[in-house]
Amino acid sequence: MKHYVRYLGQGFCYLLFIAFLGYFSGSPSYTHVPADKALIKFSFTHPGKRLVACVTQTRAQLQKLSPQLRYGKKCPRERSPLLVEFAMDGKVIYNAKVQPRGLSKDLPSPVYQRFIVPAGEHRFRVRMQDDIRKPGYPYFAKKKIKLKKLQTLVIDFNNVRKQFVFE
Amino acid sequence: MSTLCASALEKPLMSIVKNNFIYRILKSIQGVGQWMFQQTEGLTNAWFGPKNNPFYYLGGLTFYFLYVLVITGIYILIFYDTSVEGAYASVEYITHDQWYLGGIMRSIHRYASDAMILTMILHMLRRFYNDRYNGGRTFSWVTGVPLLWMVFITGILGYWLVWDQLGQFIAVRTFEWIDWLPVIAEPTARNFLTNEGMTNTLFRLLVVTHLALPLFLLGAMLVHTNRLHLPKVNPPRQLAVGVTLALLILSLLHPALSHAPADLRIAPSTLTFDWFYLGIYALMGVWSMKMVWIIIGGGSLLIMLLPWLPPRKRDPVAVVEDHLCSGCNLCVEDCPYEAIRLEPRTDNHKHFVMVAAVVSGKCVSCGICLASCPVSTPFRSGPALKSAIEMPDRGLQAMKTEMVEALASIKCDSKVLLFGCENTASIDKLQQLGVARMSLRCSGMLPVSFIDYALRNGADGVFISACRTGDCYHRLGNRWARQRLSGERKPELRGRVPRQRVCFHQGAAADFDKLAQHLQQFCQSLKRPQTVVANVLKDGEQSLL
Repeated sequence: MKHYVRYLGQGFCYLLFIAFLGYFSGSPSYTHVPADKALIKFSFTHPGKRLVACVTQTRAQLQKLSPQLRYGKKCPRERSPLLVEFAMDGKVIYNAKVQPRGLSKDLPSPVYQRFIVPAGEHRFRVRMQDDIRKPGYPYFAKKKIKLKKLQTLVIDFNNVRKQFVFE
Repeated sequence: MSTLCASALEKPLMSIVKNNFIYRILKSIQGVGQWMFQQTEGLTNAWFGPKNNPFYYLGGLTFYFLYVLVITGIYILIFYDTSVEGAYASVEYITHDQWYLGGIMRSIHRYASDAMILTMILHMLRRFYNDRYNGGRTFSWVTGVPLLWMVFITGILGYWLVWDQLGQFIAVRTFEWIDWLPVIAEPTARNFLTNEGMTNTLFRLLVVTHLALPLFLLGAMLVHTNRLHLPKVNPPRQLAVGVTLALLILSLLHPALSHAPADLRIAPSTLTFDWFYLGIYALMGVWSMKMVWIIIGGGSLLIMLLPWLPPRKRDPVAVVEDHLCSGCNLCVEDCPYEAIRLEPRTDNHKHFVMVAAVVSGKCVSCGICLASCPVSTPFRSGPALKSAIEMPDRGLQAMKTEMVEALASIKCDSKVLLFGCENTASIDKLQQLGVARMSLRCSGMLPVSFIDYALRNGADGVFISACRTGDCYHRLGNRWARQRLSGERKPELRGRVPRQRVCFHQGAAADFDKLAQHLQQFCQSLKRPQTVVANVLKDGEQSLL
């Protein structure tokens, strides 16, 4: 094969290499959130109430235990799941019974949901029950918010003040 | 008795495996892929030559891109601010204010990482299609899958560190993906809910991970090639210069740029996407996190298990005949998989202190060691002809018997004995030419003394068909065969053998026509000795010694 044909062939290969890398390193573009939408992140962690109340142990019961296990109260670790509901413009878009984490179900229940919604004004309502044995929703919030295009709205729960936060 | 039972079972077992539906599907897929690779490699062979063919150095190119990444990465690190607030500004500085060096370094860093993915994927596909991922190569195949993961993680972290909109998108989506695993107590993606939640500690941890992973990667890549003799860990200089220039040109034409700075109050919208690394994130937008885990996790596991799917019969490994072995080390030097080593003798031999030993787990039964052994000669007499290192299912005596029978069967005018590697163009269809044929597991399995023997016992010529230069199924067999014939490697072809009566052909499995044509030319040249068919051809595809 003639030299110039070999060099042309090599040049073609390098050109293909450059074109392939150059194109797929940036194209086609990917749209995560459309430009006319907004993103809502509904996320919090909250420990449910203990499912079984602590029991005070009698002296006789304590005597049966090894010295290092003699605590005055016996507290089963399992916590209640959370009942969570999130509504936008009067329509429930998330409703779940969120189980606590951990092998003994003794850790907080996590919620992490994301919703892509049209930008504009929306009415939000969130409520949560952390004791499955009781009726109703003791934690409740509602708010009207005008979402800008591509705004990220975070709806969290403040475990100190025991209330939902819109950020 | 047990040997008889084993051999009686082998044929039905192979029959079951070969009639297996999965096996047939696998072979069909491999056939299509192999054809495509061989056609492409045929072109690149013609343009680059076998010594610079990029397809023969995909692993070496991957190593090379890693070196480029380390060098450019160190330069970028000098100017990089590892805090959340300063990261973006520092990257913008090197991209725009120092475009002539820092900007180019950044672009080369990015494109070299993309090229690394490209060469790794091609390397893996080529191994798979050419059926070079099981047996002795299983270790390299299995260790290659985590390497791919490590490269992906390192590259993704690199995008993250720019801390622009793309970095923000990657950070949040990665943790949302990880959070799907039920072992995570609190969603880690909550770290990215607000700008205030992002800490320098977390960010610096990511920087350190991005810097440390390549070190592990380099170590893991060395482990990956650990079981191979003479692995190609460096590309030839011409190829290295070529790809470096290509990366430089691409960096100048299409420099890597950042998106807008990250702001967790604003959702990333349309992103310039690097599909080499970020394709998985596009899947997250289409399918659930669970499905993505199944595809990525299940896919990786399936790829790792491929060498055992379907289970195949393993050929018996080489066996050393201690009393014949002189410990000359030739087989140790020739084994492509480092499956032979020398050990101190325990039999109190009068003259020799070392003896060869086969590591059965590494041996692929290619038979190359049989041809390395100086004892492997058919000229020896005796009741049982044996080499110092034997293939139990096809020993020296069996090969000699097969050759003698083949010589007796020659029907054409030019009495040519054809030795053909079974992993390249099939020699079965050459029956019509009337030449005697003898199939070998590898061209490197042929002891050169067999050529001498054949020519002294009725053959007019000997034709050897081997894999393409630089592309041996058993890695080094064709190279060793060629060097033994040309006298560059021991045991070499004796000087008394007339070279014009020996032809060494190299070609791909798809190049059957070229093989047939070359063989016919060789047969004709034997009738007219003054005609020279071909000297050592420039492209290295075939040669008449």
